[in-house]
Amino acid sequence: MTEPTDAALMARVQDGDRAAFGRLVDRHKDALVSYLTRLTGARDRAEDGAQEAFLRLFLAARHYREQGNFRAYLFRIATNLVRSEERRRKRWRTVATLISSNGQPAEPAAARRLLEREIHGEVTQALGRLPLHYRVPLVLREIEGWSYDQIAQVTRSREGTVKSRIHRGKQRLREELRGYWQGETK
Amino acid sequence: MSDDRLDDALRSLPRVRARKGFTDEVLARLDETAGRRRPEPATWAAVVLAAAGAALLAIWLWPAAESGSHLARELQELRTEHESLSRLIDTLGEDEAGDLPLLFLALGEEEAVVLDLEALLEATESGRSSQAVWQVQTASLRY
Repeated sequence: MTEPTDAALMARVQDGDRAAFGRLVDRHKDALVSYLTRLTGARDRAEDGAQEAFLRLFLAARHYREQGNFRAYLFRIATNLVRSEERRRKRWRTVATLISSNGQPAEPAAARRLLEREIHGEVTQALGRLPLHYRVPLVLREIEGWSYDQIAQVTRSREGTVKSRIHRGKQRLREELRGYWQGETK
Repeated sequence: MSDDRLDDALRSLPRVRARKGFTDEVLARLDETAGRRRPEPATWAAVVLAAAGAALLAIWLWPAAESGSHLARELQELRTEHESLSRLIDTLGEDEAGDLPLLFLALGEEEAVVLDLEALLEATESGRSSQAVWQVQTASLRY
């Protein structure tokens, strides 16, 4: 028996079918959590963000119009959630700078210390410092392996814009990591 | 740092999988959300706006409706007057085969001042002056 397509499942979700929704979650959860982990640099945030994205998908299912790009639609919801959260964090950092001595937001220190010893940690952190409009296409392309066209659907921009943002994002990432690659200490 | 090295570093990042029980957690959150779901703020705002709009519309339309009924009354009066005048004109036309009527400018018990519209019409058409207003004995007038 063939698996129902995303479109078929989504049509059932629009009728309130929870089982179909559960299958969609199962099908896309790993990709979404992985993407959000690279985007946010934090596994917990990624899990929460992915759950929230799925919830919003279900609650706003009636607005969904089938255009053969369900995955792009889902990832766009998730990306917008991260964007909103980053704005809130930025505002909070501004406040935190005013009220704390070092101005640094709290981080999961233990996990950070572990990650900092490894290249993955360095790359993850460097990624996290990239502006979101570079980070999103870079993660989707270089880590998730999406096509430019698919990324353009998520970011609602042209393919040319996607390519140039990936290029600039990589340039900035390279600069960020130059010291690390050359063995410099921070 | 070369492009290859960066690309390799990016692609070597380990894939992350959703934690066990992820789907059940999402469905549980869905139940939770559905259980306590209230109309969204946007829905409330729309309802309040619609109610306020309806109230404002009613307030705005009330004088207009009043004014509308006043205008309707005036229009009806004009129609009645128009019909009355039309009937009078028709009646005048039916009088004495084509004779234009006399208009009473003043009417006393003994004397009356009348305007002879036929004389006035003739004077206008001929370009000659002609007496059209007469002072006559009221008793001499035939009705």
